[in-house]
Amino acid sequence: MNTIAAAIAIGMGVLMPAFAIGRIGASAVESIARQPEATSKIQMNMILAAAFAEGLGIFSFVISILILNK
Amino acid sequence: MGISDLEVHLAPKTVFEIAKGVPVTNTMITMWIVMAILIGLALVARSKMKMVPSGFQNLVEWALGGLYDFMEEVGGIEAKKHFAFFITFFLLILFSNWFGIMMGMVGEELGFVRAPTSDLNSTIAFALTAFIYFEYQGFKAHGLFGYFGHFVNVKSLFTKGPMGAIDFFVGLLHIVSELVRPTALALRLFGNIFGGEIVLTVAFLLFNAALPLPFMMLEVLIGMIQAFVFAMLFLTFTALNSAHEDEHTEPAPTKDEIGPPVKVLIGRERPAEV
Repeated sequence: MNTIAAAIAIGMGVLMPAFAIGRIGASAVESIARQPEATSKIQMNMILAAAFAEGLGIFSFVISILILNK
Repeated sequence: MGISDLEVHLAPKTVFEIAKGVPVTNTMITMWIVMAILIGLALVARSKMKMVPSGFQNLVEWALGGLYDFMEEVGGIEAKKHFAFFITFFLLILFSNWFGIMMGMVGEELGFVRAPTSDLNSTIAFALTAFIYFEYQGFKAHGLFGYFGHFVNVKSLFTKGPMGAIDFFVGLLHIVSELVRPTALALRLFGNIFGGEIVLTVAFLLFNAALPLPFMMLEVLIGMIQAFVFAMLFLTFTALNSAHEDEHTEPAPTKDEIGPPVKVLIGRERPAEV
């Protein structure tokens, strides 16, 4: 039962962050194509935003590890 | 040992105890090794300093100088004051992350070494240090009551009437967002590095000839990005807290800074008449 719960937690929890990171990367590439001279600034903000989105997925990862270890 | 024997432990393994109830864990030992490496590198880099750098000094100056200039892009010229903390977080976390990979030792069952940052205790310690520092900067910039006033906004409650109530409520929300910062910092770093170690262990146990290699490359990248993200978030929070409110209005960037407006038509955004 714990295994199923952990699998569902990580599976569902990773869905939306994956979508978010995809969107972030796509729009960053698009804006770099528009303004190549702003590449470094865009890249920096992209990494920051991706880290925020990724953090949410990491939360569910930690939760699923905690469920497994119970 | 097969994949079915794999057990995941959140807590690090105790190696020995100094006294009763004072354990020394394997992550603590790797932390000390990382600290020794960093101190040693610093001593070597400054032992034979020359006006015109060459060799190792050149490398160190290039790396640190690049990061120092980079800080201005993130938090403005004021942010350069916090270089000491920024670079300490960056280097410590970077070396910690890479140390775990470099030893090639992923699970504790397979070996002794585990990255210091794959222990929740040390990432919480980093995050709390950062938290205390940027709260201190907030108090320093706004004064004791000025800074508390952001969170418990009694002043606008009395001066602005009904709109002040909204300000008061927003201030209460700021408390939550302020407390989430260290939590997110600690969990993000821990989750990334710990997850990476588990991925490496699983890859190693499945097919240890070639499968771990691409994951290792990924982990090297993630180790650097996470160190960078931690240091940059720390800098952003510090710059946010120490910024004065009336300085928020920056002069608009001039035309030369942005460059001429470029109109690019891509794909479906192209108007029909073109």
